[in-house]
Amino acid sequence: MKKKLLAVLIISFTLFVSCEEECDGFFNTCADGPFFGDLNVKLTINAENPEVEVVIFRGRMEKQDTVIHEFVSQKSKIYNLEAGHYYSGNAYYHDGIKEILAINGKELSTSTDDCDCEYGENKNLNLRLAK
Amino acid sequence: MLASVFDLMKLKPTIFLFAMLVATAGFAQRIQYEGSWRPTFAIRQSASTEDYMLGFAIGMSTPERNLIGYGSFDFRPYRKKIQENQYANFYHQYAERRFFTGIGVEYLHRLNDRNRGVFANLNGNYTWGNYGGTFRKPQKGFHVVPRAGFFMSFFQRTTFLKLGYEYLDTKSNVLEHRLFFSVVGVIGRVE
Repeated sequence: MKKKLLAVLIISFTLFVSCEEECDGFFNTCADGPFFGDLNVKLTINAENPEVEVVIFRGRMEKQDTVIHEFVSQKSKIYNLEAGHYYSGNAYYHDGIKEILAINGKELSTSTDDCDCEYGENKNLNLRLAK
Repeated sequence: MLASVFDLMKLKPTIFLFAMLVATAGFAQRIQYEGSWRPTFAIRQSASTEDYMLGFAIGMSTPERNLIGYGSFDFRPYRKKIQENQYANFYHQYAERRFFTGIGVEYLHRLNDRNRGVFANLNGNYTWGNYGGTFRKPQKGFHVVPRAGFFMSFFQRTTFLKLGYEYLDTKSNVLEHRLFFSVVGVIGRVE
């Protein structure tokens, strides 16, 4: 009985100490920032559009604060960007005789974990062509 | 935060909400309510091959359940891709979110079987919305949404299931003809 009690006490103390180490006071490992998150841009790649011109802006597209401008040949491309900002994206497509500029945007926000440490969230940005 | 809530409002939470409403409406019959007008609450959905809307309504019903007046809020729980012609062959494809709020009136006519019948509904709405990634806004304004169809009632007419047709002009390039489905709870039994 005493051995069981001792084991419970040791496990409880270990858990308490490990939690303390991660979250509190002297052992606090929270980063100061800036924080970064992944913006996963989803694209339509097909016979008509084997390569798509993609532009990522910080803020709405009208502000023209270009962060990335490149041609992409993958259906999904991840950009690691500073969190705490709104990002908008443009993708240029051809669909028969139509030329289409796909526009969308997402807030790449920051969040806090169990230890109250801030981190950058990951988001998907859908710039696929409508079916 | 709001975007995260909308992201969560996919099919499974919708089924969960409906299950909750059916359970709530089931319990509604247990509530002793003696007022002449009966409080009602509804969760409703409309869908076409291109689009889907989710909504809520709160109102009052006559004791006989043949006339309901209500206030409503409906929204699209995701961003829909809308293509708008800019000039010649050049189009913008926007990711549109859309909302509706309004008031409405509904008439229910019971057929021979007291628990089945037909309904007709008129909903005056104001609609607005936004596009992702741009300051441009979709068209907004007032419109009227007519609905008609069949209903079934359960638990001494404290719960109604309605299925019918809806004409919804979203003021975007989206099909207006839709299937309408709602679950309605009415407080107070019909003895």
